[in-house]
Amino acid sequence: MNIIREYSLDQVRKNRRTSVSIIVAVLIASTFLCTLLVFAQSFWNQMVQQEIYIGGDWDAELMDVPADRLGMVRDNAGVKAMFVKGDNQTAFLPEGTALPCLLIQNCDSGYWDAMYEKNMLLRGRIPQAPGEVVVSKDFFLQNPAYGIGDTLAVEIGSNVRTHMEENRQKDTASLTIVGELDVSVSSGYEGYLAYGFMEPEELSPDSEVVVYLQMERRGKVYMAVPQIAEAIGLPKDEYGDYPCRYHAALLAWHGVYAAGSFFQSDVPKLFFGLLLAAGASMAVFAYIIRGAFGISAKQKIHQLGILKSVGAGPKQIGRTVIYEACILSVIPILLSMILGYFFSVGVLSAYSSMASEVFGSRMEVSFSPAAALMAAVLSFVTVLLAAHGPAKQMSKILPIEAVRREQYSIAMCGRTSKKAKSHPILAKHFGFLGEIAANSVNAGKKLYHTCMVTLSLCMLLAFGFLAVFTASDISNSQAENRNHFDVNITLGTGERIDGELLAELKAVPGVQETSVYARANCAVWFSGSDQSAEFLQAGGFDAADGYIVERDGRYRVTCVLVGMEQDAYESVLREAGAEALPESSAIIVNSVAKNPGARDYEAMQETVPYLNLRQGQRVELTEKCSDDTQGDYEFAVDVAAVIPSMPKIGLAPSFYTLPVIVPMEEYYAIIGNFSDEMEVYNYRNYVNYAVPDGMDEEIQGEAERICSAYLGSSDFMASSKTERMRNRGRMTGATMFVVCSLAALFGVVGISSVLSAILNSLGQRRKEFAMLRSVGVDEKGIRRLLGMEGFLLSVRPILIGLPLLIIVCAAQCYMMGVPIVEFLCAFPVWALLMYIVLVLLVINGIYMLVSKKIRDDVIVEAIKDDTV
Amino acid sequence: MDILRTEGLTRQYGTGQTMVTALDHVDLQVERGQFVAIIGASGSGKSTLLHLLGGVDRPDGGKIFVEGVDIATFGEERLAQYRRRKVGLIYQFYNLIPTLSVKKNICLPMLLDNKEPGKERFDDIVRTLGLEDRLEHLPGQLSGGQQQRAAIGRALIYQPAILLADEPTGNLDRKNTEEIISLLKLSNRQYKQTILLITHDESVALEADRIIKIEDGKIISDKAVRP
Ligand SMILES: Nc1ncnc2c1ncn2[C@@H]1O[C@H](COP(=O)(O)OP(=O)(O)O)[C@@H](O)[C@H]1O
Ligand SMILES: [Mg+2]
Repeated sequence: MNIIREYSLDQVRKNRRTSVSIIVAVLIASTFLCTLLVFAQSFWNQMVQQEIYIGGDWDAELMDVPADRLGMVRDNAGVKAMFVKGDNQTAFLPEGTALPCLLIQNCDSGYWDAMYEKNMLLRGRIPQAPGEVVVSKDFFLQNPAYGIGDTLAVEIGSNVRTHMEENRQKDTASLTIVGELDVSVSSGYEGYLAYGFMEPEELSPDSEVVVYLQMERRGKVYMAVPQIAEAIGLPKDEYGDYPCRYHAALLAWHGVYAAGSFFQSDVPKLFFGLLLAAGASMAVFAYIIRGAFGISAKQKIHQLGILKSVGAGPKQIGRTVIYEACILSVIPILLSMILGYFFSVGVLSAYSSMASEVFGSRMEVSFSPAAALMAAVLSFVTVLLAAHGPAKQMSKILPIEAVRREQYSIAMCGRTSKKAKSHPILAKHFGFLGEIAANSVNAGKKLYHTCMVTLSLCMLLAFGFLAVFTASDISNSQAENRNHFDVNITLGTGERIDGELLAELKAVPGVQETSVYARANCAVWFSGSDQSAEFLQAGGFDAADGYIVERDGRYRVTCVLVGMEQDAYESVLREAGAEALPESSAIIVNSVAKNPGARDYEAMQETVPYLNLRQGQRVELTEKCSDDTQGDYEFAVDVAAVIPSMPKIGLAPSFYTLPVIVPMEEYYAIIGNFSDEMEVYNYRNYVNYAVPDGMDEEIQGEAERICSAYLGSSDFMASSKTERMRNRGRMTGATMFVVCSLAALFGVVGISSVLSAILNSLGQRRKEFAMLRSVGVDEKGIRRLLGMEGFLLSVRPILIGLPLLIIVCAAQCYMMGVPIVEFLCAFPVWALLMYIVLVLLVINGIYMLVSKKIRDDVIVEAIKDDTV
Repeated sequence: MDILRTEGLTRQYGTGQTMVTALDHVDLQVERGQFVAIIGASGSGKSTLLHLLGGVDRPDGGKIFVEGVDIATFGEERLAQYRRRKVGLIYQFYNLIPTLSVKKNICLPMLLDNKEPGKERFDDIVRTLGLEDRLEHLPGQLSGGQQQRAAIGRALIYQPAILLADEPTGNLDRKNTEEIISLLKLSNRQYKQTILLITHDESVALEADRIIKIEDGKIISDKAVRP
């Protein structure tokens, strides 16, 4: 065996205490990293599974594919799997049903496996053969005579459901109901939604279907799919695009983005956050472990000096440290995978049982070998990083200096006594002993440095994070309290919301105030002269960087087109003393935040008139509110009134956004011309209730009951103040739990590394203490000396860390606009106090123990002890 | 040609008021095969000189020519190689690696070069040192005299041209001292090794070919004991 390797191995065996302290530090560090990665992976997995659950497991979708081209798609080398939906049928039901027909979409078996519809099954099973159907829940609600297992004799009609009148040919068929599905379709369709089963091979060649693709190479999807579309001869639309869609949300989780959308996605931000967290904790751990290697290297500096003086090169000396690092990190890194697994399973399952009441689903812990391997690599890099410094230091030191280090250690203490001057207070109050204690503090500078940085860093990290969390939590609940409405309902079916449903929602008893609105983003171009004098004075368009886009002297102002029901709309007009115009009538809310950069809420709410807009004026708007909005529909409204503030409907427009309020009918007419995707989105309606205190959850329940009679459960969402508050409380608890358990790991590694540093330093100085005793310092003196040292050591990190932490907290409160008192009430001050007490106790305790041991030392033996 | 030559060799410790000039412009020449004793009061700079010659310390000024090459200009790796192959350094404290066996300690300079000493030569040295039955022991299990012998073995194993010994017998009794000195002399004669030896012991100094006296970092006398 190579002599350097042999030497390193021997040293590891011999210096057990140092080795153990390094192993412990590495173990905790790699456990932390492993846990972090398992958290990240579990989160990622959860997000992917969730996306698949609600959106289906597909990468891209091709629309309007003629059935005879399916083979070409399937045989394409880039396609891993293909699912087909389509061949829609209208099945006319026998007499006596509330609505006359079933609107059937047929899906192949691959589709049923991969897509989300199966998750909406309320009862029964999914269709497995042609002729079997699952039917929407309103069918059973409205036709209680039917049940699962029933066979219906129906007449099958056209495959374009909206043109059923034109279709003449009708075949009779029988359908078996095999399940109930939690979906719905607007009552305008005069039918019930149903899903059937088909074999793509048996489709008639001229029928068109929708094809869902899983790609062989997901990363290439944005290039490959248009090529496939081209290859099978699909026509382009008016924008020059093939009729395809991408599962962008799922693709993003796999790191695949359409050109230009990388920075808009949240995934890279999350990933970056993870990198940052991993990097920061690696740096902290590297620093801490570096201390341990430093101690170990110092311990054998004399021997390294000998090695050097008999001809070991700087590389070989450096290698002794690196070998040591490798030997000492193998076991803890392997062990940390097990430990990290149990730790993350424990923490995550506790977390998910806390959070599941909010999300409704539990988070699975996914522990993959890849994550463990990654963690192992990162840990190893951390260890190497940590060992690098001491290795370099050792390889640089002059051989003779290294050889002398130990022999002269006593003499060196004598030399440093000059520095006692820098501690005049200690010297004055504690006399000779004070001087010696001060000297020790100076001599063991490195130790004190390590203690200070490690302990204050741990404190800062753990509690700083908690502070950020607390402040944002308070700020969130502040925002909630400003919310005028207690219950909020969002209805989104992709179509115009049923009038009956809205009427029923508005009739819920016990509600003090109701608002219903719909909203769509659009934009309007103004010139500089359109700005009001007050707005100009406050900075005008030019101060609104990032909100207002300037092109050729024109400014694009984002608008929010708000649809309000006719009566509500008219009452706003009446209040403004104006009347509705017969056509394209609009109310403009002409106000803008005076100082949007202001920190506290009141200052931010201060507004000034925005633009020079008058009643009777015509305003040209465009759908294209940002450069990558696909549609560019343009429309005009006539200003029926200009009002100074937004009516209280529960909508707070963003900064520099101009609200344009129109009657609901007009709203629908306008968005009907928007690009398909935006049209579907903009059909959403928002219903808000203000209710008497304590009633909100009851009324939320009532609203949910009404909605679910009309809509599939994924088409509406209701929440109330109380529910949100409770959920926030639960989430806070759950997240705090995770953060605290990670912080605790940091705390453990910090305190344990400080402990080993102290033990080593004191162990090395046994001789020094024996010398002191041999020249007449009594036991009491030694006790006081060490007591003083321990006190200095334990107080310093707190004196340094606490102010830093206070700065972080204050900054956080300032930025979030959170009052200090409220912050202090919510911040876990007790945990901070506990940490401080723990640090004081542990350090002083260890000093007390060591002091006892040193006092028991036999002087002569201690002095003789390590002469070489 | 001289095997060793220094020009204006200077070494200072500390800075400012506390600066100590341990060696002050020392010019010295040593011929190949000479046995030189260095004497002087404690703190006069003897060890400093030896350490500079041995390449374990760096001068603040001046030149150190070994076989005509200035080692003061060497980089770290080259200097390490010099220490390994050209000089053997023996300290007052034996300075063995406590975790390595006596055998490995002796062979250390060669092992660091990834070499094994020739068996004959190794056996020869070990026999001369009287360490045949102690090879697998750890240094801690040896007496002071035996440890110092192992250290000498380590200095000899690579057959370096120069042997530097800093009070090698300072910790030993008279019998051990005599044995060690005769060992060095034997090596000096057998392998034509140049030896510089620091000693406080006059009788030891008188065994040398030449005695150099140092005071306050300067050579104050330099005389041949015998021609
Ligand atoms: N590492 C050092 N730091 C400061 N001064 C030193 C150091 N090493 C030696 N000296 C000083 O240099 C001078 C010469 O030391 P040294 O060569 O060891 O003397 P000698 O070996 O003759 O007793 C002494 O005054 C000593 O105090
Ligand atoms: Mg000396």
